[in-house]
Amino acid sequence: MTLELNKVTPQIDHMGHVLAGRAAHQGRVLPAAQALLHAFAEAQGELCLVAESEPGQRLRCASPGDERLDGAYPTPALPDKVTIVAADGSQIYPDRHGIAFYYAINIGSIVFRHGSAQAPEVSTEPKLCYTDDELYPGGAPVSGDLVGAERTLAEMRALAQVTLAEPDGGPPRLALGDGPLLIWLQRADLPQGRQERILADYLDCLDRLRIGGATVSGFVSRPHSAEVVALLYLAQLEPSARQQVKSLAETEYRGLTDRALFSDLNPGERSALFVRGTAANLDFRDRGHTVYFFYLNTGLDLARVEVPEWIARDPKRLDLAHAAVYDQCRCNNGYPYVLTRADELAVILGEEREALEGMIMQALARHDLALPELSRKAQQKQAARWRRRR
Amino acid sequence: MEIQVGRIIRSSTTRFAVGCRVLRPEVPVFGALVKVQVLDDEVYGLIHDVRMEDDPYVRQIAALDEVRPEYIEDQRRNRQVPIEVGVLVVGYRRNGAILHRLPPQPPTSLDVLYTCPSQELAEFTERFDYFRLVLDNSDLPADELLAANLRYAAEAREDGEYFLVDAGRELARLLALDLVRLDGLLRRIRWSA
Repeated sequence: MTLELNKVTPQIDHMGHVLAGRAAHQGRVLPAAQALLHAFAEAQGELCLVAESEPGQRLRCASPGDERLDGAYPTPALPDKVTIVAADGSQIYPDRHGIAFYYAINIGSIVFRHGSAQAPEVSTEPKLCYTDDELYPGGAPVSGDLVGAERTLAEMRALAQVTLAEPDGGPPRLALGDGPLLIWLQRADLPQGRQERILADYLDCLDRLRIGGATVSGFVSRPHSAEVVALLYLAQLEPSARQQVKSLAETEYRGLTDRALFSDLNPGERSALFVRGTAANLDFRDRGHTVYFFYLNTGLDLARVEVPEWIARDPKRLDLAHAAVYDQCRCNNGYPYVLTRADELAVILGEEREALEGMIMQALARHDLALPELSRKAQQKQAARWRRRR
Repeated sequence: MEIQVGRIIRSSTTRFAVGCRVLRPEVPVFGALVKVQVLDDEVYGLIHDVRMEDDPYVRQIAALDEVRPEYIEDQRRNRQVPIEVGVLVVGYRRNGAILHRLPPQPPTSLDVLYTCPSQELAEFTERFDYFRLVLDNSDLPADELLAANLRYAAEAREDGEYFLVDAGRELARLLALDLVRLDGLLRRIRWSA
């Protein structure tokens, strides 16, 4: 059997109807939300109180920075020479049905010397994880969540290491990560102590980048968050009414994103700065790395760019992040060139995984172990799906 | 001087393909004589094709109004989009003697392909027995390939004009029944000092 498209046709039709209704609804409420953005443009103090209130924390509201909320800030001049470093990772998740229980993380990094006319420097750093400590942290088999968190940490380590290897007295350096700068570990199923260690190591990297004088930012493509929308929604309510709001999804602003809110930005313009509203930002704040963000029209898309507090409060380096990220996007279909390349370097393709596992099998055989094989379940699935893969 | 062209990625007794990263002024050149070590022999071939693999990302960048030089250098030098060089086997050297016939074994993957210096090109083209190995390939631009090789061979020797006359005589013998093709080939190898 296969996916019988005739059976999902009515569902697809209904899906189109629902999505059209949602788009129409958002089109109706968006002007009201944008009107609130203008109305509260200079009410930073009041909005901070809303964000810090119990309902504000519950809805993970962003906090305003010092700028006008509805400001649109044009692209600053980009220095003639800038060194832009990016790192990205990919992984092979542990699979108990595979030939061996292991996982792998591969980090790709690129040093792009803007204005040099030179080929960038590229490198990869693969790591195979197979020790007891890596596979059974805390006694239980390693989870996909932990592998994901370890990968995020490895990306940040590579970013810091490669960026700080560039000379301090040379062109300004921007370390650009793929995704949010603010990592969110609480939801991950991590063993005792491991979450704290990953967070501490991650924040150590940010410490080193700050001390080293680098600029740091994280690029979030097509963000889905609604932290500013939530803030504005609560702010317009009476304080007593705010207590009744359990979730933005229960309000008429459901589904409305910050991305839509700032859709009036022109190419190259950024929004005002805001502070991320998630609880994880408290850990970052304690170490002086409170995560701020702004929205940026990359030319073809609206992205969220996250920066630590020490960049948000340094106009020169904030301008560098703004200008360099936009420049990277401008000539690469609205997405930073260096991140495209870092991903390309990091990605582990199916045939590469097959080659790796072939080598693992040979290594096991050399050590007189029985030739490993897939689990019966994986074997049967492979056999049954063979015809579908042709 | 021998220049490394690239490494073998695919081979058979009659042809092989080589991957290389960038085009340089000297290599790879259509019609050039190249060689690769296979055990104790050196296998000779002519470069009959230089092609770049298709890549959607390169297509996207090519369509941009403004392409930064760093992007171009990155795409050319770092990305794994090799230039593929096709080589037609035309002979081999064993115990010092050059033989214009197919070698017993093809090269294997990742063997290194080198260009042949002028002296070796002149030595290889002292005889014309390899012409048949080139002309018999109807799926290749065989006449263009042989003509290009002969022009390089003429440039590699002091009596280049007389060399081309001799080569023309051999072609006249081989293509006596195809005068139109012979005419085209002779026009292509006409001496121009």
